[in-house]
Amino acid sequence: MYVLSLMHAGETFDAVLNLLRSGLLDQFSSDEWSASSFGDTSQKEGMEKALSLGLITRNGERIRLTSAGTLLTKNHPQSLRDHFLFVGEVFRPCYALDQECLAAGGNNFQRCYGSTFFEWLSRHPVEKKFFHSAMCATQGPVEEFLANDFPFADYSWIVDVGGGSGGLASAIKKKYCEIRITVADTDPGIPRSTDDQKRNIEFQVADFFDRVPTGADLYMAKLVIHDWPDDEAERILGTIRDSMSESSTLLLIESPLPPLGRPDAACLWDYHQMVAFGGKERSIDAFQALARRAGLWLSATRPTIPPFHFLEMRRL
Amino acid sequence: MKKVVQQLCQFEDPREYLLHLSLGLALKSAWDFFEKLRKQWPANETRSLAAIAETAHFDPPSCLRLLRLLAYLELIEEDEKGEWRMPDWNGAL
Repeated sequence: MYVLSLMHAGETFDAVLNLLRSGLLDQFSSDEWSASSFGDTSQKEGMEKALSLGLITRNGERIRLTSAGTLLTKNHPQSLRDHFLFVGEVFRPCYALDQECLAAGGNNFQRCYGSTFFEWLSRHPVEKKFFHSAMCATQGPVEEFLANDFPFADYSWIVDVGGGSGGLASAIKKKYCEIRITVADTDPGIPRSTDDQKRNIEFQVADFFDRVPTGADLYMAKLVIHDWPDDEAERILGTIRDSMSESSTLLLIESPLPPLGRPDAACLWDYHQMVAFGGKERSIDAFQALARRAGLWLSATRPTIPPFHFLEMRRL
Repeated sequence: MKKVVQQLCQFEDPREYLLHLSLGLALKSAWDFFEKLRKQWPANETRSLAAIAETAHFDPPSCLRLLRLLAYLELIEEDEKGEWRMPDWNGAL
């Protein structure tokens, strides 16, 4: 059981960043440690902070990582370390301008960096690598669940629009090896892994504002639309619609906002999308309205692994 | 008084806990705006989105997103008419 104080959330976040930068948690990862082996004052302070955050436990002199602490170590396959560092480094300036975002609306990332997040990312290879690593770590565990929770076997060719490094495609291909899967993303967004090549996943360079492969029977876009304001989101959906046949389905995987009066954690992510990216989470009704603007209609929705929903769209 | 001021959430899943922790900048931002709003919004008074946005000099759609986050954090309340109420926090904060 963990407790997070709201009033000190900013300080807590900085404390985690300091722990990650100091490498203290990685020192604990090999074995149990003795508290007395940390004589240095900053190490002791770090240890106390890690204890208070539930990242390590202490039994007498013996210290070991908790499951949360383990997830922040460098070598854990689903480590959230890069996610924290990315948020702390890249999005902090956006939060310094949160007043402007609330006062004038618009894209705070553009305000801070002079371009959209993805344009900026394409010019910053180090941060791009961090971003993809962070996305793999945060999304990897849910992709296997998603692959098992939708009837992908009903489709012969799937195009994953904005599929990045192909995590979801890989999870689907692992379960349904006979399905043809194409990951369509911008050139800088595709780090190919040997696993993906072994599984015969196709990677195609495509800008979803311009064109995506035509003729697939299922198009899917996971957490793509929420990165963009309405006009850009409509353009993306329009591009996909133009590539769809009458019988194609578009599957969005998003975390929709709850109905008014029933706030949930999606409201927290929506606020982050607004201040950090210029994107937004949307209600189911807002997705329906957006779909119609793009010449589509929302034919079915259902919840899958929280907080995600499957939203199926077809051509109007 | 609302538990959330002292404890945002209690998590069983370490991954969910860490993802919330990683949104510390968003939570700090929301908290700071809540403190500003509270100074200009009498306890128990119900206000419309338009009135809140005008008083705070906020863009209304962006203001709505902040208010929904504050409602999720149980710092303010929304009624069935879509109006917002500042609870009486006197002595609790």
